Amino acid sequence: MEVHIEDLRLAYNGVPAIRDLSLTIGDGESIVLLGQSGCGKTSTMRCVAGLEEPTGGSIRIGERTVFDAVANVNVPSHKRNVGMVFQSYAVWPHKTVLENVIFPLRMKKVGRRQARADGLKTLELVGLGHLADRGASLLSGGQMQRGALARSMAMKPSVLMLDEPLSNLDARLRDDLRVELRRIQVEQGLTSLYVTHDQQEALALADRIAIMRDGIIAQLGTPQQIYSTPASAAIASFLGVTNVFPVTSTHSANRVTLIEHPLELAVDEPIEYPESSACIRPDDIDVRPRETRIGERNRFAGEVTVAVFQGASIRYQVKLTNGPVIDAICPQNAHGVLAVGSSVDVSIDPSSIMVLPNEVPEVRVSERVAA
Amino acid sequence: MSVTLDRPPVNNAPPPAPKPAPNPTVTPRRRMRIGRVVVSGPLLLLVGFLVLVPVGFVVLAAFSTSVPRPGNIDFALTLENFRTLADPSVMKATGNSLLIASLATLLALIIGGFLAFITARSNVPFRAFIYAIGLMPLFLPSYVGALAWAILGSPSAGLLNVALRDLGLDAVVDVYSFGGVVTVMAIFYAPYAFLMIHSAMSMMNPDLEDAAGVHGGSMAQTLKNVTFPLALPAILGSGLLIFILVLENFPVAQVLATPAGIDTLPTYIYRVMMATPARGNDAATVAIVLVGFVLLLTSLQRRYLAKRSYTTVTGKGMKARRVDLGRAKWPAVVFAGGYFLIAVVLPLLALLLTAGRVSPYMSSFRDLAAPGALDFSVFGEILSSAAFFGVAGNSIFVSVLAAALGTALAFAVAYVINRTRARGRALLEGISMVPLAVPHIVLGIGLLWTWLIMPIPLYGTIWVLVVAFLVVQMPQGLRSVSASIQATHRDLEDSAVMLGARRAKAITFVTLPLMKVTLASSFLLLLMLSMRELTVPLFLYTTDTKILSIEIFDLFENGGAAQEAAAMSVVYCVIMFIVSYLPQRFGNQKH
Repeated sequence: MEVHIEDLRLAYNGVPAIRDLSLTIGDGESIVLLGQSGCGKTSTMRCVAGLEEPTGGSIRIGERTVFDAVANVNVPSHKRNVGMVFQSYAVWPHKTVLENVIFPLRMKKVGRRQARADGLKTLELVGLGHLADRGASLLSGGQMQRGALARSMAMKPSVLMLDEPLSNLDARLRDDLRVELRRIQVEQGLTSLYVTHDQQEALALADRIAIMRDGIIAQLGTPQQIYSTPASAAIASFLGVTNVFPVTSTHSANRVTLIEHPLELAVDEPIEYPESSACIRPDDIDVRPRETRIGERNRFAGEVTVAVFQGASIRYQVKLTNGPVIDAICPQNAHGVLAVGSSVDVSIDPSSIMVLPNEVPEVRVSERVAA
Repeated sequence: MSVTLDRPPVNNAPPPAPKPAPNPTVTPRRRMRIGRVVVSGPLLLLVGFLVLVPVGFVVLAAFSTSVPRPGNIDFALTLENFRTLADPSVMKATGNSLLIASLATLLALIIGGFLAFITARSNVPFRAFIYAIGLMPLFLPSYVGALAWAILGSPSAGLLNVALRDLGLDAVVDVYSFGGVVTVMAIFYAPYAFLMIHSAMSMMNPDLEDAAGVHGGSMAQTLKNVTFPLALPAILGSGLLIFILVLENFPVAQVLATPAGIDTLPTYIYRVMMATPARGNDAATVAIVLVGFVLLLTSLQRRYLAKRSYTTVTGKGMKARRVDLGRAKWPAVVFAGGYFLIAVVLPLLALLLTAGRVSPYMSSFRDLAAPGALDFSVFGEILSSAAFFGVAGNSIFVSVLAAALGTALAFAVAYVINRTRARGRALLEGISMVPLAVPHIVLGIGLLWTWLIMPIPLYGTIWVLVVAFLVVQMPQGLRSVSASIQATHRDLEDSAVMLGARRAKAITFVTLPLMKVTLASSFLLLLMLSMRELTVPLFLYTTDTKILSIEIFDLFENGGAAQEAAAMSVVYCVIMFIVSYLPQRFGNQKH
């Protein structure tokens, strides 16, 4: 079901955690709230679930208003029909797996036999059918996570919320479950709101990603949009763009100069905002042994300080002569692994340099959210 | 290989210490092997002697024809003594004990559980104060509470009955009765239920309850399906603990049940012991029955607590959700206030009033209005009397010494158990915990026989009390020090050794300073327990070695000196409050 959040505000003892947040989740859509800890993403989710009482704004699920500060509406949690998978799973340890799953059905007064049948069906869906009668405290981390998911799905929620459900699992299991979660979400057409601080997870699971910073949505877009055109240097940096250098403009519109180093970069887009940075993905930087040819655009001399072999690629840190340390990821190629201390040429294609404002200007936020 | 075959290994005797071998790979290995017995051996001997000999004498007396006495330990074994169990009065005492313990446990759980729930999980007003109410009766030793209630609720002259008569009401409160014993026991053991249930309820992961809320459970359904099932281990665990404590409680039963002609197992044992001639063998036999009950219950409790892991207690410090009590708020406050009144306020007022009343008889509260009817100079007299200072001095001397030695011994034992691979560690721990399963009335008898017989002339001196308290409080000391050793990461000490300190140095400079605060609170815990102990010294004191608890008990038992006794109880309560308040303060500093 569609979820409308409008001008949501939440403060803890006067300290704002959410500031005028508006967001619409379409029917069957998966939205991921992505941000660092303390940015208000979990609070937003808990407000929708009714576990937290907002200080202002309104929340509508389908046609029903579940919270409205002005009209003084606040539907209690258990009447909202919202599913939630907790970060700690919150699977009840004193019940069996099946008892956990049929709880929401029993609360809806579904008959014992019917509830059991439905519960088993849901457990099959997440691959836990064979463990139905096992005590929930005996499950492994991954199984608990599936159990928690089954419990929420069994209630046929209007919207399913997941609070960092994969963060307590080890890396390998996380990759597998990520794919499986996406499969179930798409197959069942679940309207879902997912909270994470892991960008890989966000990119994999979202129809749209909402990047949160300081209690507001800083950018909203499809994973592709967010990845290719982050709205600010801070967002870019959060998304794994490791080379971020504050810059100012020069006499030429096509050149910027680094504030902290005597170095100029050729760029394709001019500086739009007074406080901007040049952001370069490590994968967009080419590192090769020193050649005599000099004078090409954005070609700098440097020295390798760290080289890390990563299998398919090699990660370097290169200290540019008179410039910053730059982070580069190069595919395996004819050069092999360049030794630490070797002199190298670093080149950066001007079209791969993003010149972005350091922070999203507030004006642009409202425009983007409205759009 | 061949070397060890030639010479049988000398395990127990440390070889004559040669100069440290130059080869560094030999020294540590040898030292470790020696260390495995050197550290645990003496401790095992000491603890074994202190604990097992008294218990052994009781067991022996139950199976032999005469009681152990100096120069005559009788090994003429017999089962004859067990006939006494068929005696109707023993059967009656057993039945009474079990019934009183069951009812008192139930009542204590209701009181403690309710207070725990409203303070941990509801929006009841005055939460902090109600929390304090839940703990406060702990500061009042149960027999002082019983004595105070005897003043309040004796059917003829009890203050409550005087008040009822003044008000023209016909009702009579009689605390010398089954109901009286049950109620007073429940009042003074309810804090145990309160503490355990409160901590279970406040440390519960709130996600578990939120999950029930989100998945369609209303507040009431969440409480029923999630909150209470998760608190159940704490409820049952504290229930068993209280049952054991009530079952073996001697003072309350002696003060309130004996005058009503109701025997419990502990009072029966005491009566038989104090009869002339003393029937030690019968007492020992009944004692075995009591120990049997306690052992059974302790093992039940252990089994239950072992399963407790499923409470998924998280230390996450998240705020638990609070139930809105709505209109039930005020009745809840009234309930807490009522408990405060009968557990703390009324007893203390009764003691104060008795201390200040000039005439021991009072037919109406109007009498108090007469000039000179109240005179609190008795406090001054007591506080300036040599007799009081002798007794109080004894109490403090014995308690401080027993607590200090007890903490030191507990540290040594806990260190060996938790940090070394010494042989007999499990045995050492087992023996140290034995006093927990032996009711104090039984331990008192065993200690009496032991120190009458031992060639060490301790009996009749104050030192026998120190040794007795050391034995009685060994389990509590070990538990508390063990917990704090476990909370101190062993890597901290090991790293000091890696950095070149000898083990003893590492303990002195790293482990002990780290445990300073918790050791101090263990010390204060033992101090408080020693100060309030009555049952064990009852068998061991002589006129020269009276301590406060004995003196108060004596003054009341023998009647006549009610005023002094009440005044002394008040002073005693003040001391107890100070001693019990300190560990709280110390405990809080940790966080």
